[in-house]
Amino acid sequence: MWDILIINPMINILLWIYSVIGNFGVAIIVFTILIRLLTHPLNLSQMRSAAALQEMQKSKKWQDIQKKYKDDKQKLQEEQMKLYQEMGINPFGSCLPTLIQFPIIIGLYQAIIQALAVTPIQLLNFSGHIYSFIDAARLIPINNEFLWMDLSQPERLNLPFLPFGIPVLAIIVLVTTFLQSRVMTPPSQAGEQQTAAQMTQARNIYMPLLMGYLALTFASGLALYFVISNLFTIVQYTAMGRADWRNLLSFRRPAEAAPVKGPSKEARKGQSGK
Amino acid sequence: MKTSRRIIYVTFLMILLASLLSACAGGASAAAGWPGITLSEDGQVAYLAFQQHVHAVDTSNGSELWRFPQEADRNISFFAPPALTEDGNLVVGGYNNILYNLRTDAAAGQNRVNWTFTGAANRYVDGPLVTEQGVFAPNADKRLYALDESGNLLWTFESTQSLWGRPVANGGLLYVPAMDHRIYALDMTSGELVWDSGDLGGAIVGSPLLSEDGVLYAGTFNNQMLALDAASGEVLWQVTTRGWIWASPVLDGDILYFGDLQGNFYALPTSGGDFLWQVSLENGQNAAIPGQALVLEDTVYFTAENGTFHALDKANGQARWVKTLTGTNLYTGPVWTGEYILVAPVGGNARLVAFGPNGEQAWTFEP
Repeated sequence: MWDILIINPMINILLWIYSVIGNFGVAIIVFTILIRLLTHPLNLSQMRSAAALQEMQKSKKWQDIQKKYKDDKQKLQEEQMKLYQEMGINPFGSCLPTLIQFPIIIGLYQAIIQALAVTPIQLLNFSGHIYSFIDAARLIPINNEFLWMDLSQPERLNLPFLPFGIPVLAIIVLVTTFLQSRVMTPPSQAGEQQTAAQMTQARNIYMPLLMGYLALTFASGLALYFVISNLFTIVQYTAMGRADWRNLLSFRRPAEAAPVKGPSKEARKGQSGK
Repeated sequence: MKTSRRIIYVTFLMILLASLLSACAGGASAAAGWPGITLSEDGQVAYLAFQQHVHAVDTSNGSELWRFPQEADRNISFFAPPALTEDGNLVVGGYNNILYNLRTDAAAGQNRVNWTFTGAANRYVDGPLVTEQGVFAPNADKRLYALDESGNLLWTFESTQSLWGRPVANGGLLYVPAMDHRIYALDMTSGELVWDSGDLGGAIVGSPLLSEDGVLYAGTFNNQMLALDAASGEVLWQVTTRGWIWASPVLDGDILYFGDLQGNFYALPTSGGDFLWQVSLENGQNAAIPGQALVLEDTVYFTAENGTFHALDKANGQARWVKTLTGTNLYTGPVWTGEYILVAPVGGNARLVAFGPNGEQAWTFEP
């Protein structure tokens, strides 16, 4: 089922684009942009959910609930869910598009590796995925060279005066992932839960490192996908006016939560006097 | 959810993604290729190259005589069939880009390597051709390496795409099949190009067959079997098949026998034209026939990806028997030792299975 629904269409679309363009690296770039355009409505929905969530968390109602039920987690969650429903917000609306990216990334990686087929078993398996109307005989083997890279291998730029290769693409992936995270992250708001801000900061560190690691170790075709995907997101956010470039150079720690004040001295006197 | 738990949750998701991608990529040697088999001149020893070892197996009973290397090294794997030299040594290429010349006597022990050639930049998918003029090793780095008997480089030839198929020779000319859809004829002494077939329409992955009357027969990924004049490279005829052709054809009298990757098997006269007969395997999916067939007397034998081993009447394609090695794939074609037919399954514990000509199983080799 995975092959029929995901792998086969991806492989054949990639092959078709390659048959038109003649360069597999460019075919990956075009295919990535195509995928991002197709998932744009999902991303739009994600942005709106995230924005609505943020607005709601700034509202007085939300703040009051946090204060009132800070010692009763279960009740706090119940009241939060009620508020979500009241305001028509899906708390998972910002997660779903990210999760949907997973099968796309895995499917695209499999499609790239199968299409580049560097071993007999891979080539044999690849032959079984091709639709009959694709003129595969003319296309195969696919030219895996793109700029200085072998798309089927981890990328390294070898310079004559250096004894080691420079992982240029991995560095670009790390930088663009960091850029994307930073410009998409709104600055911490006063009163924002410290845990949420810390979570965002942790993600902004983890994600670039992890994506950079993946780009370092896996075939450069996947790293190319990451770079194009990141750049597309940055452009997308900028075009929609949602990119906060000031955040790029802002390294403030998450705002300290305002201390919750207990009853005033007079109130406490009034209570004890009853 | 506490911050630490959220961070662990996100980290877990990311590690899961990395693991899934790793699973997609596969290991360097796991299921990368299929076994290569070569027999000693007297058929008494089978040299099997598969995954981390080259095994020497006594074909009378399936016992192992030696293996190389003695201890598995995850950086070394072999899938290309070895080739024997005139002095009884074995030349075998690895997926670690190294070509080895090995002693074949059991007493060699740890000192089995005579020489190595490390000049290639990619893996050896098929075995080298060994002749009096030298060792000719095709490599996936698009080059053919010509070496002398001591492993010294004589010359190289560079194609525009990977070289996966073993070349054939007629003493003066070397015919090199290439994945760039061409066959190149080279002078064996100098490596100079004599002729280039031009684009034959599809990649040529297997080794071509050179007949005694100077005709080259080659299957392509363009669903064709072609005949070329070995002297000039002129295409004499081409016949369309139903699927890509990987295997080298086998010639018996004036009939070519070969299979395709769609599970079809053909008998084709050397004059081209219509097939003498053709059969399609039941459950053609995953029934690719990438290995060369074997003809013994009036029977033609071949193996298929779905783990089936077939014996057909070579005159009319009628099935004599079928053996199924459950849970395995059979990519490598059968070989005849003089007493047994050997097949090399992928998957399962056995690396070699020996059958009599009538299909009775004789022994298995499990390292």
